[in-house]
Amino acid sequence: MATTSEKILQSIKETHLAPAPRWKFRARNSVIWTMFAVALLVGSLSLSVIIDQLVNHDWDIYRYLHKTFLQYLLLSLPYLWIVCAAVFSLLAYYYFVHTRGWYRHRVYRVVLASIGLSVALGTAFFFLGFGKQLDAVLASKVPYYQFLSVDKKKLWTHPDEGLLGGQVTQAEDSSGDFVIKDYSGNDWDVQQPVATPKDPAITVGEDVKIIGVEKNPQTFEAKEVRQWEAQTKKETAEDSDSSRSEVKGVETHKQTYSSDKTSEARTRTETERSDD
Amino acid sequence: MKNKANNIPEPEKVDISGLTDEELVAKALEDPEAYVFLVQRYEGKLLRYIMRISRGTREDAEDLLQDVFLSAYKNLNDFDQELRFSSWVYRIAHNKVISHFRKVTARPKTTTYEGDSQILNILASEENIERDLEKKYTAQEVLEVLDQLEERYREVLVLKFLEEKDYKEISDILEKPMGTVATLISRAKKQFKKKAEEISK
Repeated sequence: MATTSEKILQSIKETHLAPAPRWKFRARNSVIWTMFAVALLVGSLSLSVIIDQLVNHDWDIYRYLHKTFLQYLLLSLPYLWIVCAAVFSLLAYYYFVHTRGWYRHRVYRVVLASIGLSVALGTAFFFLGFGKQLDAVLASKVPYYQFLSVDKKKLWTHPDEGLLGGQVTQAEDSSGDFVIKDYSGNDWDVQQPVATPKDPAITVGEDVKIIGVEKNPQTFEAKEVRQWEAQTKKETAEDSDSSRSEVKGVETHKQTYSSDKTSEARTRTETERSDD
Repeated sequence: MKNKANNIPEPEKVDISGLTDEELVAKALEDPEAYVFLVQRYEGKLLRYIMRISRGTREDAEDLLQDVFLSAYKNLNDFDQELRFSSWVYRIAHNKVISHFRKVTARPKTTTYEGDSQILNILASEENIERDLEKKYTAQEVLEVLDQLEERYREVLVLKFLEEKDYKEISDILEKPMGTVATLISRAKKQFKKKAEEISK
């Protein structure tokens, strides 16, 4: 009766079995490390979008919406990106535990190193503006992306609560008043009785966020005017391309009104001097 | 030494049995005959290990053993030089047994050899030696206890107390961090002791 070793040798010879080439194992390891790196990068990019959205969120408006901070926080979290970051972090972990010799590292060190690396990369991507760019690209290219993201426009469509957002359609008024079309398609005459602390340059075609008081269904008195952050401006600009063309009396060229009364006065004085 | 007939030098004969496992792996990559020595070194140990952690007959275990050696030969280029060959081949055996029982969907059943019950008796009483000194478990009781343990606990107990592997080797075989292995062994010992007490009542 043949021994095990004889059977093995016989089987090797009969089936012409040969050790698989070394490059196959190296290639397999490289693929696993690449997948790990990709998962880590995508996870970090997701984290950079989360940081961007949290940093650029209007955290102070929850009182106008008659909500507690916790309710507002739950309403404002970028769940899509949180899920995305979690899924890709888990994928990175999955690929890591399939690399050769991973178990020689202590689990808590692996977890801490993964979290540390993701946070470091995510923060770096945020400062490089990748998070903002990714969000803007997805908003313009991916259908239904807006529905899955926090609807910032909706937050700023509460004129009765003192929050109004929309696109500037007229801004040539020297009094500082301007006209916007809100995200429900209504026109509003926005009055600025006093210069507001965070006034941006009011430019036709740009989107603004206004905190103030609704005077009547067409008039809103502004206490503070804010600009939308870059990515929101991009997405709203694309969204309202069609609505912009419908606005009557909108100049085709850009008109800028600086709400800074001092600079306006300075400009007027300079004009008068040149006339003289 | 020279061949008298055609003056060609004869290949130098190396005492292959004196080579380490890792040196034999290098030889086996060039010559399958060298692999036979590795098989001979491990067939007894691995057959016993497979029988200890698997349900089934000796014939089943021998089939699995052949499968293990053929798989190891096929993956010889993947042998990690940072490991001991014994850990690597035990790992392959462990994976083969696990995948075999996934296929047949039967829970592996432990088989012990003469002397195993003695070692496991020490294990059962080592947490409170004074109290358990009088207790003796029969081989059948030890088997029953092992069979009632969760698979992961049974496996570490077999490796630690029957195969007498150290933590590093168990870590390499099961591909689990050493801290996890230590935790598993500690929990397995507690579970073994609890079950042993239940059975003896």
